Amino acid sequence: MKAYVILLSFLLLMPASAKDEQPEIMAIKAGKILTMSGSPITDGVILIKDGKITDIGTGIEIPEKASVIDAGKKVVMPGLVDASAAPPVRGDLNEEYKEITPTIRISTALDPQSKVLKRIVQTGITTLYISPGWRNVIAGLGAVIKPTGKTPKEMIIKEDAALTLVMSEDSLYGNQIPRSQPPRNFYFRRPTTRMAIIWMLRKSFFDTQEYVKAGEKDDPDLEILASALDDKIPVRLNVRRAINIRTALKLAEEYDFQLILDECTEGYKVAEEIAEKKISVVLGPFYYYPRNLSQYEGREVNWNNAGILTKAGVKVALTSGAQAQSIDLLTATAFAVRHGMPKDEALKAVTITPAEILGVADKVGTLEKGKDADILILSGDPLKVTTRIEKVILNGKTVYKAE
Amino acid sequence: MNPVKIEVLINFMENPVVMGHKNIILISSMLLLFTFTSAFGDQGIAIRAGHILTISDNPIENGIILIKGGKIEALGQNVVLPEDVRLIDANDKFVIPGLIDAQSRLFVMDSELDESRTIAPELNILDAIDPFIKEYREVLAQGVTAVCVAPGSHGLIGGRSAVLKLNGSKNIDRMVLKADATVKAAVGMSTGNTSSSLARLEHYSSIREALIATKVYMQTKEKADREMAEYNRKKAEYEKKDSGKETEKKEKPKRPARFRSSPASDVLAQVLRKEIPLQVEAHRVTDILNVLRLADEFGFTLILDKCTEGYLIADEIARRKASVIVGPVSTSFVDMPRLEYRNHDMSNASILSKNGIKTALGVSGRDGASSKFITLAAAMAAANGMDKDAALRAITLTPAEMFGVADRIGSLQVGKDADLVILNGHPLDTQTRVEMVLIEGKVVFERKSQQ
Amino acid sequence: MKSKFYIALIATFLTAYVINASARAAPVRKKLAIKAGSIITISGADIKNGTILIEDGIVKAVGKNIEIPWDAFVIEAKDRVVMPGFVLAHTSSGLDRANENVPEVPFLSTFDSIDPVSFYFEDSLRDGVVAMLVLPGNSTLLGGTGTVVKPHGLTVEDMLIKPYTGLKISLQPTGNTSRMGHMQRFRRYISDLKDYLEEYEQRKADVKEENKPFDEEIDIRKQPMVDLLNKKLTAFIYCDIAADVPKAIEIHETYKLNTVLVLGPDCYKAVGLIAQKKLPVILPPQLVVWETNEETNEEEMKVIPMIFDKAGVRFAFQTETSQYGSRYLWYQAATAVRYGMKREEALKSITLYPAQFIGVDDRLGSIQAGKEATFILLTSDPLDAQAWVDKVMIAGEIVYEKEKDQRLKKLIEKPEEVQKPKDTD
Repeated sequence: MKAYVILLSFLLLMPASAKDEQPEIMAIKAGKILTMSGSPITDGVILIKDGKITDIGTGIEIPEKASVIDAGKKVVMPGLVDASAAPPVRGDLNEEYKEITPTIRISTALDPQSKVLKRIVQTGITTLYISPGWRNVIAGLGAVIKPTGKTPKEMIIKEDAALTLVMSEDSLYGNQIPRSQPPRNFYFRRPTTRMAIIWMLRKSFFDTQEYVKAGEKDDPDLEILASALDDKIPVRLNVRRAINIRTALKLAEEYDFQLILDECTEGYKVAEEIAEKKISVVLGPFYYYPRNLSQYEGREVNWNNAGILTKAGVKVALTSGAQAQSIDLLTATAFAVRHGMPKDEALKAVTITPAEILGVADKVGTLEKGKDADILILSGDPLKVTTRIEKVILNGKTVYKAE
Repeated sequence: MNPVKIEVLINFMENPVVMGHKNIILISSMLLLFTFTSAFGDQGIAIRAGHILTISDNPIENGIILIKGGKIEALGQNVVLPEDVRLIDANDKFVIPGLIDAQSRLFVMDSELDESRTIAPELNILDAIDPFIKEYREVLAQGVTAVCVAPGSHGLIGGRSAVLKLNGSKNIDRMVLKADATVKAAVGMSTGNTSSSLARLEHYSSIREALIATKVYMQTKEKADREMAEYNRKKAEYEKKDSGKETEKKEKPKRPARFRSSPASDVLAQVLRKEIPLQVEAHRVTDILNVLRLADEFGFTLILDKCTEGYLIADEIARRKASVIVGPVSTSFVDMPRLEYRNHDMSNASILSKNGIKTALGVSGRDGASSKFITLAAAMAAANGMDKDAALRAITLTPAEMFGVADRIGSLQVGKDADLVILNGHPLDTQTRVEMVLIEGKVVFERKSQQ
Repeated sequence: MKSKFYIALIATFLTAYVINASARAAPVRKKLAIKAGSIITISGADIKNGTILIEDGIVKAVGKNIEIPWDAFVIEAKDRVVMPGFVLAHTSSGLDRANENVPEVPFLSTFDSIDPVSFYFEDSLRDGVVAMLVLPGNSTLLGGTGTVVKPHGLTVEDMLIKPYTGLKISLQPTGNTSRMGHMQRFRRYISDLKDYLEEYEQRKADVKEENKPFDEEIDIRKQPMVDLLNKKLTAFIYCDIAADVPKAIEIHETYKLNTVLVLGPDCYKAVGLIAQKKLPVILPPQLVVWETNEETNEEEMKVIPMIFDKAGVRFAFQTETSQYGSRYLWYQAATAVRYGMKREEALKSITLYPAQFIGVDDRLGSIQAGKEATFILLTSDPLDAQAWVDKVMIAGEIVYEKEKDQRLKKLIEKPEEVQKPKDTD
């Protein structure tokens, strides 16, 4: 009688205990592994320990105690890197009391309990870049984060990853004095035309140069701008129209700093010029019709923006777009290929290329020894819309499993 | 699990034959037990309780309620329990019938809160019901098993109300206990902070005109029906003679003019024929008196809704034998700065009840989930003078009677639906918790044991 | 001498005529044969390296090893996938205005409002749609009747496939009306209509008794609703939120109509009721919705086609142009397949089922002998995101070729050298 009680209780307790144990070494066996750093591996194995990839290839021996995920004939690729994503933050993205706010950091608004984190993980994104909003001319500092962790600090993998500059017309929609009326509040904004936006950028750069020449050290805003102009912090400039792109290239030349172009909706018109300057482009979300863009920002679209830029030799990253929340990054990639982007470049555009642009290519972006174990297990070819993300592994832990 | 059953299991397992195949038998017996316990729902249920408050009769101490087929089959201290019955032990607990909120917005969509000031008796609250909302679960957890939902306070005659059960069915037909329960009207409602006497007079006279028009309609309809019957009779005669020999020249009967029926008037006709009560929301003494005068003139069954200043003219109300739904009980003018509630008094229900007026209590919250505060309303009414039993009756049998569903719910009696609540104390005690709720014999809520 | 002149003149005219004739656009050929690398028939199994024989715009035969008549024009499509053109069972685009100001206008018809020059039709043809039922919008109680058109033609008559199809009813209240008022309005309309019909029949009976001729017709403004009650028109009832579905079912059962439900994204909650009544539905364009669970405050993903597929409800898809991908019917089907729907069912939901819902399945929706030769030739599998519609054939005539699509070229190809200015700012 006692035996049965013991047997019953044992049976009931066993499953619970198995859950709590975390295996030390994890192994993934898969039919096709897209490393993004070389040719795909057929019937390969990835070994993971302490959240990093310890070995990858064919014919690797799997240690006994390892917990094995047998992905059969499925496809494995690195976790996606989204170079411009909707941030999991609390509150508004735009600080509108001033037009130039280099010291504002989006990472201070991070919310580890944000609802969008679940969506981000389920669409396969394991690393993302977040930026302050685009209503200011110099918006502030962005950060590279991973959608995991209980505190904001745990989420951040690169603080002050880039300084956001905005040449697009978004800053014209801030707190403005209504026409022929008194100002609505104390904080009214100055730029009402493109001229003013460019002027503000030039003034900031000029002030920075003077500041550096004078050897001063006490202005936090100008300190950050000085680092940016000195290429210590990458500069990401948001532009849409071809004319703005040209102006951006000119400014970069004039003040001699490295540039990354954000959104670049009309980039296809000036692809060679961008390629010439060896400037990387982080593309914004895709629009079928010009009417989805704002009234001032161009009347033309080209569906093959990514393809034309890539063929001209520009390094392109595809993104889900900070505004659009429901875009599936892999679907975006499939459509980029549909419209003319070469397949290999497209897959790189959501893995290693953005990792390089963001400066975290030492940690993520490819499946190589020593890098973070951020892995996606897919039901088939990632460029097929019928493929489903079955598992997402972040830092060696399974954070999402499809039902 | 039943201790008896475990012993049986143990004896079974000590059998030598069984010992030989213990693994298989262990697993299969576990599986059998699971299926067995889940099948319990279909069989009879009995509840043994310390205090059964039937509402309709004296309370029963240490009694048993036997439920079968969703109805109360037997009830009392000496009930014989059949063999396979699932016994719920509520030995030191209270059992009461499921509570009814007579003024609820549960299930009614938010968009339906404001209707225009018109006479629209043909509107039906059932067209504004969203069966997919989940708030009803909170309300169920406080012991409310049925709610009376009606159109809002803006329409002069807002439409027809209904009584719904909180059985969680997505099929509206299965949720509705009674459709066309009452016709809702409202007089003297203020807009903003003003209330014009002229406007209130207009409300009163509009309703009165509608009722007069209905009387005329009923007469016209009756005449048309008579004429139609006459015509049919003559036509039958004409055709009968016509099929035979052509002896006399008969005049072909003339068809009477077609009677255009009006759904709005049909509903008001039902009110005038006393088939459906008229539920009129009125707050101030003048408005209540106007409504009573209407009842005198037209003779319909009157339910006074809210009746904020009713306590000032309780004898007038008692004379007309009108019933009242008092609500909200538990707030003051400070919380509801509307002119109608200016003379709100928490002893309203008590005074009305003591004058022999059938009084029910409602929560009348702005949103559906506030129906869960119904016991609080009754407790406050009792705290301000209402007899405790009358207060409990005001949230069970009285509203059931007023809305015409007392044959099904409202009290614990043989033959009624087994909608009941098990609590760990007297329902009007604010420290009491609801332990279990049953609707038609099915457990729809059970409190999970906490710390 | 004179005769020589006349012969020369006649000869010139004849030559001119012949040249003219051949210079005209490719005539619709009487007999065609398409040799395709892969044929998805929908009605049967897929065929590899098969042939479709077409005569007078109708499919004569489809299969492997079919003998091609000597006078048939052969279209080589060895590297193409041929399947029936997509059918869209409900759209309100391509109209001058989708909704009327007045709530009860069942006598209006989208035939009078379709704009053949609208980009919507050009895009639809490019995306592989060969038939769509254009109905009034979602903001009118009784919106009017619909028209089935093909997205090809310069006039509505040219585009017409089937007029007077479907009557649109919307349960979304308009303006300041409450839902109670909206439903009551519908019921009052029907009861007034029934009164009218009764009187009409009365008059007819009276006149017949006196052996006189009866030539009064039913008021033309009421005719569509009469046809609806007699099941000659199908009711397309739009449900905006889940709570509208029980009302739609009530209308369907009370008045005994032929009904198709057009659903909003919230209506997946009512799947149980819909499955019970076995009603066909048209899904909203947004197929994946994220909802906050009221109790746990967590976001949950709902995949609408899967919810209906698992409940056994037959459905068709809709499209919209604001979101990525959902502009294409094949993408909607691919999304369903991604989350577990069977490929064959998903493909049927963009071809055969919508054709059935709108009553054109006698000629469209699958490739079989006797049906119209209306197909799309794709560069690869339809559910492949990189597949393009290469050619569209409607009733044996090629009406679209990607090669000749100038607008698409402009959207995909690199623009011609944009003049580099000498100095910018």
